[in-house]
This record gives sequence, structure tokens and C-alpha cells, in this order.
Amino acid sequence: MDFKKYEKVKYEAIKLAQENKKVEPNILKTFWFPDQEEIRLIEVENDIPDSSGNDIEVFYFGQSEHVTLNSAIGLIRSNEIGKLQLPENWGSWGVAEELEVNK
Amino acid sequence: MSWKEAYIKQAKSDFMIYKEFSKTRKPICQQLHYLQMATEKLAKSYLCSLQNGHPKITHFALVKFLKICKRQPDIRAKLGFENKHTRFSSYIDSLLPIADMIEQLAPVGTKLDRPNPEYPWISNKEVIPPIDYDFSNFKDKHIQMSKFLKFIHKLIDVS
Repeated sequence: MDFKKYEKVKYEAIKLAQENKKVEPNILKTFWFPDQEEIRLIEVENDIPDSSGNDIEVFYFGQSEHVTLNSAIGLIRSNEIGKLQLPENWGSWGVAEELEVNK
Repeated sequence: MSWKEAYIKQAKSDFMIYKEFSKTRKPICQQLHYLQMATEKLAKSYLCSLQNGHPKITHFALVKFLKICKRQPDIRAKLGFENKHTRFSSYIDSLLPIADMIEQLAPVGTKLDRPNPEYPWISNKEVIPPIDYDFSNFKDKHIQMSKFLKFIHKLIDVS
């Protein structure tokens, strides 16, 4: 893994997660799944519909003025953490890093 | 097949195309075009059931539908908010601003004077094709869009 790329994506992931938390204070936890190109976040919030089936539905967004990398975001409820199937190529729940978004 | 079933089937197909286009980073106008069509048809499918027939021909069904949703116990239960009226109501309210933005993407009549993802429009005497417009008002709305898309995905699944 290219450490510089990894650090850049992580920096942008934290920025995006913090922005999301500001807009949506009900977010309880944010998990980052490392990748060298794309920001991959799973955000946990209970005031959303439960997930259909066993897979996490992830939505994809392009770059913008404030978020300079492509991103992919999934929303799940707290009782679904670690249970739902991640998108292909995201690895396992074991690689997820919980981000401190309140700091 | 009833009108309601037909609208749901087409909404599912439009939403699948939206997801594919967003995943493969196709131009934002093409993504928004399919998202607008999917949500409009999904909303209309529920308006069919209320009117027992073909829904009124209008592009502006989405916001109205969301407001109706708040009063529908069956939809509330299907989305996992059974007996949580206040939370469901707040949740739907949180989706309304994005729903309104998406609804406003529909081209209106022959007077093409505002941005939309389908047809060129005129602004300050300049004709602009959707492919050249960045729809920047959608770009920094990751969490709002994710919540809205999750709602649409779930509703399509349970419809």
C-alpha cells in the first residue's frame, strides 16, 4: 500500500465524516474502510430504515469542491454493525477503522 | 399488471440504472436524470393506489408523496419504524429538502429556462446543455443524499 495515498484518503475521509456529523448529529459511529483511491464510509444511525437483505447498500458520489476524492457511503443501524455483507473489494469488517468524528 | 405494479417495476429499473451510473462515475446529469425519473415513478406508484388508477400526469409527485408517507402506518412499518410515529415523522421531514431539489430537476413544459438533467436550457442568452453543467448544489450533500437514496432503495424493495 502507498502510505502517502493512504494518508491522503484517510485525511479526506475524516473531513467528510466530520462534515456529515455536523449535518446529521444522529450519526452514532463512522467506520472507514481503507482504500488508496476512494473514501469508503459506513455511517451508523438508528433513524433510518433497516437494511434490506444481507448486503450493505452503498451510494457513490463524485468529487466536489470540498471533497476532492470520489466517495462511497453506506448507512446502517447500530444492530447491523459487523453483520451485513460489505461491498465487493472492501475487505472484511476487521479492516474497518472507527473514526473519531466529534473531535 | 396494475398501473401501480407497472410504475414500481419501471422505477426499479430506473433506480438500477442510477446506481450503475453513480458507481461507474458517469456524468452527473445522466445520474440525476435517472434518479429523478425513478423517484417520480415510485411516488406515482403510490398515488395510483390512492386514486385506484393512473396517476395524474405531473412531474411533481415526490414531495407530496413523502408528506403522505408520514400518515401511512403500513409504509412506516415496512421501513422499520413501527410504533415510532415521531421518529418516522422527523425522518421523513429530514428528506424533504433533497426530495424537493430532485423534484425540481424535472423539465417543465416548453419553457426551458432552468437547469435540468435532460434538455438544454437558456440562461442569460446562452444555451446550456446539461452535460456542461456541474449541478454543484448536489455535490456537497453526501449524507443527505445517502439518507434519501437509502429511503428510495428500501421503499423500492418493500413495494
